[in-house]
Amino acid sequence: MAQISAYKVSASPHKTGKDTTRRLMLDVLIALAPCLAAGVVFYGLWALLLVVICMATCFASEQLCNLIRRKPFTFDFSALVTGLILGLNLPPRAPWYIPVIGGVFAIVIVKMLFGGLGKNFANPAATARVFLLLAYSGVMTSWIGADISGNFLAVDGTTSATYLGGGAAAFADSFLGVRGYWGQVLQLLFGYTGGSIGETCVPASAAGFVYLTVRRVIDWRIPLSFLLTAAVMALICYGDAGEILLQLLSGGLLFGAVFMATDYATSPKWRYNRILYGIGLGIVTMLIRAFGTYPEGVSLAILIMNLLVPLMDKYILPVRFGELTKRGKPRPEIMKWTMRALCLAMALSLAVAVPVLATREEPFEPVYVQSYTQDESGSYVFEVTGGAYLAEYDYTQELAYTVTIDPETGRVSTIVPVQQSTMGYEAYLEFFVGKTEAEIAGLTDLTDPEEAPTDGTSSATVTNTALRAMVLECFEVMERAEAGNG
Amino acid sequence: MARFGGGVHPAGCKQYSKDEAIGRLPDPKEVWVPLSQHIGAPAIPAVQAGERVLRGRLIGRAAEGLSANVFSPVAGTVKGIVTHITFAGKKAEHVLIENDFTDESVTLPPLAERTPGAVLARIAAAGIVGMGGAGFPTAAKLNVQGKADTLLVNAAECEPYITCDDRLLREHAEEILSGARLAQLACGAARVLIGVEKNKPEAMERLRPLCTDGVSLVPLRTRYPQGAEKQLIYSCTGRKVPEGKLPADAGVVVINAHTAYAIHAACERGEPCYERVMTVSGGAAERPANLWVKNGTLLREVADFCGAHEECGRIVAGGPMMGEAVFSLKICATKTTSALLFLSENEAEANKSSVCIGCGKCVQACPMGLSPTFIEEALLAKKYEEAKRYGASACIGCGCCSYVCPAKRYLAQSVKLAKKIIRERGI
Repeated sequence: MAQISAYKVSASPHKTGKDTTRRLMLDVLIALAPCLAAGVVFYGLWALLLVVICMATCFASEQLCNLIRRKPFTFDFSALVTGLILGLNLPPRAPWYIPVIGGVFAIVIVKMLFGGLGKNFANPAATARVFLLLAYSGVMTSWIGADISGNFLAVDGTTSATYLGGGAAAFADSFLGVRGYWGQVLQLLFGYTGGSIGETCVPASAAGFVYLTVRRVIDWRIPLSFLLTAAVMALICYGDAGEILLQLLSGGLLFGAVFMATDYATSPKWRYNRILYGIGLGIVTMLIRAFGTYPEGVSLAILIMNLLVPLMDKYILPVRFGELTKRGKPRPEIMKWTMRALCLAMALSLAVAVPVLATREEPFEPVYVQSYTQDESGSYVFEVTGGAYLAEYDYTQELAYTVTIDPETGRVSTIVPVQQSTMGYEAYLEFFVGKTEAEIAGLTDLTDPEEAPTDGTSSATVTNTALRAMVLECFEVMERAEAGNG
Repeated sequence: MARFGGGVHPAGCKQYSKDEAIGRLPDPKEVWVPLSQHIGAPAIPAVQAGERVLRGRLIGRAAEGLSANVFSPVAGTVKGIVTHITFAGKKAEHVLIENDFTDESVTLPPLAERTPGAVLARIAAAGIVGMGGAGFPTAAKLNVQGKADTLLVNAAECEPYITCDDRLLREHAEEILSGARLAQLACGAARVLIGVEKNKPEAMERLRPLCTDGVSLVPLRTRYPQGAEKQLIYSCTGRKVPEGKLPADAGVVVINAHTAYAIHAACERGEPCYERVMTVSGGAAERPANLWVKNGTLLREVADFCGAHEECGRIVAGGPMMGEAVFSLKICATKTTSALLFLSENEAEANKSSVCIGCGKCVQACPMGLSPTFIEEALLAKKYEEAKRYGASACIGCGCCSYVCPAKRYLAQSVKLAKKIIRERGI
């Protein structure tokens, strides 16, 4: 037994878990990889360069701080995490000095001056982003559209609006063949839109969330309560169920919820405080988005809520196991049940309000169709009236037709003018007669073939365009009537 | 079933010794029996140097107040009452007995009547203490004046490595049941619950047919610290022991499975408590085993019998989460030494602690609802009132906070220190 004289003595416990600071930070880096990949695919290699500059700056400035303070160098990857998150928060075509300034600000001012890892009271990346937004507003809000044509080396991109900054202008007519609202949702979901390098692609952030949750690196309560509250707030602020998805999927909301709101040092420690924190983030973010001057509110919201975290940690404590009140009664777990009830109430209100608001359709009121009948053969006969504004004469010419559509074939049978056109411009009926709804809707050139080619705004073309709207409405009315019969 | 909050799930590591039948450590040439193997006042020596004692002879009489009798584990000659080191590193009185290997024994007289009073008196006379680790005199624990309706047998054995209760259940289930019923009689409880973690299916299979009229088996989820008294009571009955109160105030008395076995031995066979099953395990143990080890056996004897690899990094008496690191093999086994672990360098890595990153994992892991990271911060700033506000006084010392800490900070150790300072200064 002489050989085991070198054993060590310490106080219990003698076993520790496998987690280490470095491993956790590495996990965050791994979880951010899909976001970086999506950013590079969408916005090219310049975006990658920005991120690398940012990470290098963060790492270097941390070591410089250590050097100045005569502390040992730190290799815990936390500076790289800050650098990567800040880099992914930058616009894809920011100039090279933006990540340098941002990185130095994040590490030196926000992190190291307050004592380094774990001591900073505000999220370095979020604070740096807000700082850059204030200091370089123009650069920090000029976005380019995503481009997956494989042109990774392009330094210029077409400028593009984001949904939060430019509204519907950010959207293409259709995405992956889906038109309208769901096309917009799909476009935002894939992040094929303008935005910061890493935050547009929702599946990438979601993959990061799953990875970090499974690895137990982050607490799922913060992102989920954040998103839930943001959804409810979107409903309240915009009064439109459709806005919920557009708001949740756009901007840095998901990215911020997963990677920035869950930052260890600046988020509360107890699980129910974390739910409270997430709820606060959701409220502040949506208030900024709906009523503030800045289109994007996540970073600012994180910064604001960070300031409340020490208060929460200090004054809202977990109820101890078997804790008694001063009167000797078991202390009720008010915080726990309040947070649970709040989340449940928000989920329920969403479950109730979304179907109600989503099925609320504008009542269909025909504009042109005055009346319709069905003849003995089953064809629909519509009386339509309308007008065509003729710019040449600054005059609105009245139009009136009788349109017959056969529901069997879905084609226009006849179009008969009811009254002589007041300015003499007749519609070119061949465009419509015998055509289906899709064919008519797909017509791009309504220039009268008997007329000399014009710029498309000639009086005849305007008349044709007006008639097309009337015919399409006839189809709409017929479909509703058929659906009603069926 | 109620689930306590927090806790951790360390690797069980029970595979080393769970299939080793209980053997017997050869009797040592001499035993150093500590007179204090329990909570409370040390026993008063009842023998003198030169006196011959038989196995089972009283050698230390319980002192006034909380204390317990101590018995000779071997037949032999008392060499003297000597001072010797204990686990805590303090010097204490031990009775040194030289074994004459005649193994002559005396037993207590048969139990005359089966009344609560008689059983309690026998448990006290046999020197039985809580064998889960705390060493609280069992007679005092069971004497609850009818306040308890439930007797809970703790067979959770949630600490990694330890398998002595598991083996005891598998090999002596009837005796443990009998002991539990005697304890039930002594404390006047209406029912008996046996809590076993689900990672011991063989023991549960063995117990299930025996659990009849008033005795029920409670399978528990495998989670450390399932076997901590308050957590166990909550898991089995849904009752929370109020802070600063005893389990009896929640209507429960908890005894360890090994204690129940000792009660059976004392009442049915008249054998007092002078030996126990000890698990010898760990990555650096050559021959892991479950052994009957007599009180007062030097740990060196156990180490020599089972062998330890060279790369042994740490020797722990008890479980790796709450046991004590052994600084010398000259220490003696007691009634509460449930395991001797030879941990390899890998298993008991001495991690360098780094700065707190504020991840809050310790707060989530604390089964008592404390905030270890803030307690540590307050302790280092000498703000003891603040440490108390974060709950330092309620710490049960389970070590979950240190276990989960990614920065490897000595949280449990700090909280224990804060608790001690708060108690000593009456803050």
